[in-house]
Amino acid sequence: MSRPPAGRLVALLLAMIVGFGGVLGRLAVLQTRDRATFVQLGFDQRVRTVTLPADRGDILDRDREPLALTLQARDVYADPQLVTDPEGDAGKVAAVLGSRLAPVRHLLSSSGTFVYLARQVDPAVADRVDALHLAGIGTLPTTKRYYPAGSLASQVLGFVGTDGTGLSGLELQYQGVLAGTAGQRTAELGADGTPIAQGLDTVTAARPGEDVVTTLDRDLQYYAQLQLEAAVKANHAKGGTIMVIDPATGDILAMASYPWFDPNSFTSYSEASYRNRAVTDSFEPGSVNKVITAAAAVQEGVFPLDKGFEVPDHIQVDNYTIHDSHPHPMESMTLGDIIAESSNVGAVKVADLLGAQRLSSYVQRFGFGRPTGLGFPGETGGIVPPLADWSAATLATVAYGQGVSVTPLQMASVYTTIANGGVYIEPRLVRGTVDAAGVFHAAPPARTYRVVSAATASTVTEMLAYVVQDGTGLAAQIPGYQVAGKTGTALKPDPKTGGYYPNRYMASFIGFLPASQPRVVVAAVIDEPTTIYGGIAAAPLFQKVARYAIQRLGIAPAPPVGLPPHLLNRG
Amino acid sequence: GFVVFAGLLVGTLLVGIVSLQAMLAQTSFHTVQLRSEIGALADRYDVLTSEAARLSAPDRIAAWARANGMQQADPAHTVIVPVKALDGAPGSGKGGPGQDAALVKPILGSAG
Repeated sequence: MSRPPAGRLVALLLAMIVGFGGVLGRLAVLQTRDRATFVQLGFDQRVRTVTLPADRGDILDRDREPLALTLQARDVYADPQLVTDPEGDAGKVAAVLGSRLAPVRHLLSSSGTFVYLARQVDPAVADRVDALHLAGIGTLPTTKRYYPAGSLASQVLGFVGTDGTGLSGLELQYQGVLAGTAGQRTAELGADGTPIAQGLDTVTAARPGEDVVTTLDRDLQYYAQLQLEAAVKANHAKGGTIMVIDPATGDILAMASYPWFDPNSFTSYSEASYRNRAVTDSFEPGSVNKVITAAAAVQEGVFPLDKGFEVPDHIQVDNYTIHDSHPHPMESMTLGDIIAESSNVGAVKVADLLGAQRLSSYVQRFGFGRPTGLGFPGETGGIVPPLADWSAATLATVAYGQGVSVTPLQMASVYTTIANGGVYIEPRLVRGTVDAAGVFHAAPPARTYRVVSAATASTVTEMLAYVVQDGTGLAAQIPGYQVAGKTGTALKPDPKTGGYYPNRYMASFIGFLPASQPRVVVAAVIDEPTTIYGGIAAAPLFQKVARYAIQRLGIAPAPPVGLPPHLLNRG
Repeated sequence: GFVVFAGLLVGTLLVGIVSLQAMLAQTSFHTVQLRSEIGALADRYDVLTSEAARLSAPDRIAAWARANGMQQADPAHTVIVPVKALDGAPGSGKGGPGQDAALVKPILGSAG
C-alpha cells in the first residue's frame, strides 16, 4: 500500500490556515479599526429624524370667534420619470382636482423628477387622488390657512404664503407669535417604518403657535363693511374707510377699507385691495382737522369763547385766496359758530391769533407726523411740515386741514383724545394672546398721555355737538342720543401740478357718542364721492354704523352737553 | 442533572426574553396606531372648528336670512320716558305705576 502524499497534505493545511487566517484577520479589522464606521452606517440606516411642524395659532375676534384658522391639507406631487401614461393619468388627476387638463399634462410630461400638480388641496380630494393608484403620483401632508368669514377684516388680518408664513397684516406683524417653533423626533425605524421597540426614540415637542385675540368685534366689523360698501356705491365713490374705536381703551372694534379682498383667494384680487388704507394711506383731512385748531385755541385761552369774529366768505393770505365752502355776507361768528358752520375763513382767523408755533405744537401733540404706535405693517406717519418751514399760508391751510397729510386712524385718534377727556390713547388691534395651555396673556394697556385738559375737551365736545345739532353734521343725528362730531370736505392734492384736483374730494365725518359720556368713536371717510361733501357722503354712513354700535355694545343714552356760545341765528 | 437544569434555565430565560421583546414590539405598534388615531381626531377637531366658524360667519347668516325672506331689523328706537313726581313735579322719580303707565303709553304708541 502506498503512503499518502504528506507534502500535499501539509500544503493544503497551510493553504487552509492562510485562508482562515485571512478571514479571521479581516474579521478583526472589521471589529476593531472599521467598527465605528459600520456602527454609524447601521445607525444611519435605522435612525430617522423628522421635523414636527408647529401648528400655526389662530386669529380670533375679541369674543374668541375665529377669524383665521389652520386646516390640514395635502400637496399633490408627481415624479414625471415614473409616470407611465402621462396623457391618461393627466385626465384622471385633472378630473379629481378640478384643474384644466393641459397644465397637468404638461407637468406630467416634463423632464424633472418632482413637480407639484396642486397645492394645499382638501384631504378628501387628496384621498381620491391616492385612490387612483397612479405610478409616480402621490400626496404629501401640509397645512392651509383658512379665513372662515371671507373678506371680513381682510386688510387687518392679512394673509400667508404657500409655506404658511405671514405676508401682510396681523399675519405678518405677529408671525413670531403665530408660527410657534418646530419640534423634532429622532427614532430607530424598521424596514417598514415602524419604530423599533427599545430603540432610540427621542422627541423634542413642537411648540404650537399662540392664538392672537384681536380687539375686533366680528359682528360690528361685518355691519361696518356692509354699510361702507353701500355708501361708496350710493355716492359713486372710488373707495372709503370706516373705523369704530372704544375711546376708553383704544381698542379698534372695526376697521375696513373698500374695496377689500378675500384672503382665501388673495391672488385673484389686485394688490391695491390688500392695503389697510386706514393706516397705510394718508390724505389731507380738511375740516375734520379744525378740531385741533379749536382745541388749541381753547386750551391756550387765546380769546374768550363768546368773542365774535367778523368772518367774510373769503380772505387773502400771502398770494392765496381762501374761501368758505359757500358764499355768504360778512357774519359775526364765535368759535362755536366757526366750527359748526365749518368756516375756513373763521379757522384762519383763529389760527392767526394762535400763531404757528402753538398750532404746530398741538398738531404734533395730537399725534400727527408719526405712526400711532399700532405697529401695523406699512403704517405711515403722514406728513406735517416742520415748523421752520411754516409760512403764513401754511398756518392758514393747516388751520382748516389742508397742507398736512394724515391717515384716517391718526385723524380718528384726535377725536378719541377729545372723547377720552383730552387724553391721547394709542389705538390697538390686539387684546392679547392665548398659549397652547389655553391661558390668556393680555397685551400691555395702551400708552396714554394728556394733550389738552379735561375742561378743554369738554368745551370742544360742546362745539362738536353743536355741529351735529345745528351745523353741517345734521345727517349724523341719532334720535335719543347726542352725537358730537365734525364733517370734512377736502380737496385731493395733484402730485403732477403740486396743487389740487379741482373736482376731487375726500369726504369725512368723525364723531363720538354719547357726547357727555363717550362710549364709541366712529370715523367715516369716502374717497371721491360725486356728492362731494362730508355732511352728505360720510355723515349718513357714520349714523348707520353708530346706531348699530349702540345696539351691539348696549350703549345707554346720557344727559346732553350744553351748547357753546354762538351768535349765528339758525332758527 | 446539572446540564439538564442549566439547559432548562437558559431555555426559560431565552423564551422569557423573546416574549418580552415581542410584547414591547406589540406595544410599539399599538403606540404608533394610537398616535395615528390622535392625529386623525385632531384633524377632525380642526375640520369641525372651521366648519363651525364658516357656518357662524356673518355674511353667510345674512345671505341665508335674505334667501329665506328675512329682513334686517330696524335700528333700535330709544324712548326717553319722563318720570312724574307724586306732587306732579317732573323728574322727581316718585310717580306711581298708574301715573307712569299713563305717561308711557302715548310715547310707545308714537314710536312706530
